[in-house]
Amino acid sequence: MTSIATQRTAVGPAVRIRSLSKSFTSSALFSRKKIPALRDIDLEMQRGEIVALVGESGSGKSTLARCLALLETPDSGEVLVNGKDIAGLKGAAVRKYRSEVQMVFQDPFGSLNPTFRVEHILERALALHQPEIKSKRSEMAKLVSTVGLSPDVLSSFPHELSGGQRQRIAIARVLAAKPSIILADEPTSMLDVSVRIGVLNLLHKLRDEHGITILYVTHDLASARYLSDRIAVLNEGRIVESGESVHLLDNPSHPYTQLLVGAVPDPDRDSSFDAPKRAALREQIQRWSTSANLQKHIIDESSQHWVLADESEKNN
Amino acid sequence: MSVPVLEVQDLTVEYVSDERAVRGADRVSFTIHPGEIFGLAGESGCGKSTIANSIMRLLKDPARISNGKVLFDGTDVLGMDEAALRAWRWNNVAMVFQSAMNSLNPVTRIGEQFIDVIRTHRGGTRAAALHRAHELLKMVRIDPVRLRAYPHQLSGGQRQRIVIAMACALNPRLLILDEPTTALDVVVQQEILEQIRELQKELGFAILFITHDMSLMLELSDRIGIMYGGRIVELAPATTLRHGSRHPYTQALLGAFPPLHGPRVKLTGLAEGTKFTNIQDLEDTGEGHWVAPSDQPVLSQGELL
Repeated sequence: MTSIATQRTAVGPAVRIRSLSKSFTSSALFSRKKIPALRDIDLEMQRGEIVALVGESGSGKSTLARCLALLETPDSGEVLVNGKDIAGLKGAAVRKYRSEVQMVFQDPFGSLNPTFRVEHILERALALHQPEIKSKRSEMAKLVSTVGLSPDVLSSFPHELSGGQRQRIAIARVLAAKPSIILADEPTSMLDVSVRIGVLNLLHKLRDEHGITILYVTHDLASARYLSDRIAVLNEGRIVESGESVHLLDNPSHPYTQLLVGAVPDPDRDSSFDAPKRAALREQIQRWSTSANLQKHIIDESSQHWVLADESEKNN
Repeated sequence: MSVPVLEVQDLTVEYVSDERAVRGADRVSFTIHPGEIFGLAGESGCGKSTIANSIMRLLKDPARISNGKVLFDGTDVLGMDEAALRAWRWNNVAMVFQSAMNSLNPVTRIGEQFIDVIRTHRGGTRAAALHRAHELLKMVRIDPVRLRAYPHQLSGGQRQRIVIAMACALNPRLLILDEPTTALDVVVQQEILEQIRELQKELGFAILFITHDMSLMLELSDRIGIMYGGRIVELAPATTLRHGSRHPYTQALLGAFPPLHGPRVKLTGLAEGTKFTNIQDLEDTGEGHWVAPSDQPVLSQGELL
C-alpha cells in the first residue's frame, strides 16, 4: 500500500508546508481579537500519498485545506506545491494551479448546479481545464465510468441522483481538471452510511491508479485509518502528532490523540468512559497546549511517528 | 417476562398526496421492556423518525396512521384524545429531537424553561419546580448557576445535556432519543451518551434510541431493530447482531464502519443503486433473533488492503 508513496519520493514532495500560520480577526464592537486558526504548521505530502488531517471542529483542519486551495491567504509561512511557492500566484498561474489542486467538498447537494444536467457540469470543467480535448462526449463517459457510474447519469439532473452518486459526480468533475492533488474536506460526512465506504474506496483507487496525492480532512478516526497512509492530528491549530496511520492510532502519544481515540464508539469496549481519566487528559492537553517548551519527539522512526510534547513531561 | 412499556403492533404510516400514498412505515412491530434500551437503526428515509413521531402522536398531514396499534403500558395511544395525550406526554414519554439543542427558546432563561415544563405537566409551585431543575442540572453535571443563562451562552454539548435533563424532568418511563448526538463532536458525543446511561441507571426509564451510526448503536443498545424502506428487516439482541447478522442490508450497515483496531480490511459497503424490494415479514430464528428472508446474496467479507 505504501509502495507507490515510496517510489515517488525521489521526485520531491507534492506538498511542502513550512511554518504556516493563519489567524482570523473576531470583530466584536469594541475589541478586535486575533484568533489563531493555524499555528506554525509543518507538513509534507509525498506524491501519491494519502494524508488524513483529523481533529474536532474548530481545530483548523478545514482552514489548512482552504489555504492549500488558495481560498485563504496565510499570515506567514511557505507553501510549496510540486516545488513551486504558491504565494503571490496571479492570473493564468492561479488558473493553472487550480486545475493542479482540486477540492471535493462536504456537501454534494450544494456543490453541483441544480439547473444543469450532469453532462453540462462535466463539459464545463473539461472546457476550462482541458480545452485541447476534442471528443468531449467520450471523455465524459470515461470520467463517469472512472467514478463507478454508468454513462446514463450524464443526462440526469443532480436532484435525480442519490447523495453518493452526486459525490461521485463531484469527484468526476474534479478529475476533469486532471489534478495531481485532491483536497477532500469531509467528503463522506453528508452521505448515507452504506455508501460512504464506496466513496472512500473510490478515492483510494484514484491514488492507486492515477497516483493522485490526497489530503483527506475528517473528524472520523476510523475512516482516516481506513483510507490514509499517514495521519496528522490537529489541536487548536497545531499539528500535535503525526505518523503512519495504524501505528499512530495503535500508539497514541499526545493526550489529545488519546482523547480522540478513546471517544470513538467501540462495541468491544466494556467500560467506555472513565471520568477521572478523562479529566486528567483534558488537564494535560491544556498544560501542553500552553507550554512554552514544546518539542517534537520521535516515537518510531520507521513509521515517521512523532509527537509535539512538553519537554519536562514527556518522560513521565 | 415483564409487561412491556411500549408495544408497537403492525404500525403502518402513509404519506398521502393526491396521486399516491407513500408508506413511511410498513407493518412495523416491536416491544420495549422496562429499563431496556432499544435501538432503531437505518439510513435517512427508512422511517425511523416516522415511527418515533407516530408513537408520540406528533405526525402531521399528509401523514396518516393507516393501520396498527401503539400500546403504552397496555393503554392504546392512538385512541387517546387531546386531553389524555397532554397528560400522557412528558409525564410518561419524553422525546429528545434531532438537533434538540436548537429547540430551546433563545429569549428565555434556561431556568424559566424548566419551570415551564414542570408546572405545565405537573403543577406545583415555582420554587418546587426550580428545586427540581437544580437537581436535574446537577445530574447532568452542569453548575445549577447556569439556570440563569440564556441558551446562546452555553455550548452545543451543554445545551444538549440540558434538553436531555429537561426530558427526564418528570421521570418518564420511556425516553425517545432521535439522533441525539448527530451534530456533536465525538468526544462530546461520548460524554453525552455516558450521561444518558447514568440517568437511565438512576431513573430506570426505557429508551428508544434512533441513529444511523451502527457502532454507536451497538455500544449503547440492548436490542436493535434494523429498518429499511419503512420495514424492519432484522431484529436481534445487540450482541447477536454484531457477530451473527443475517440480512444483507444489516451486514452492509455493519460493514460501513471501518474498525479502529486490527488489520486493515477492504470493506465493500452497499453498491451504488442496490435496492431491496418486497421485504417479507420477519421470521423467528431463535433466541430473539428475527430476520426478514432475503434472496439477495450475502455480502462478501473483504480482503486485506
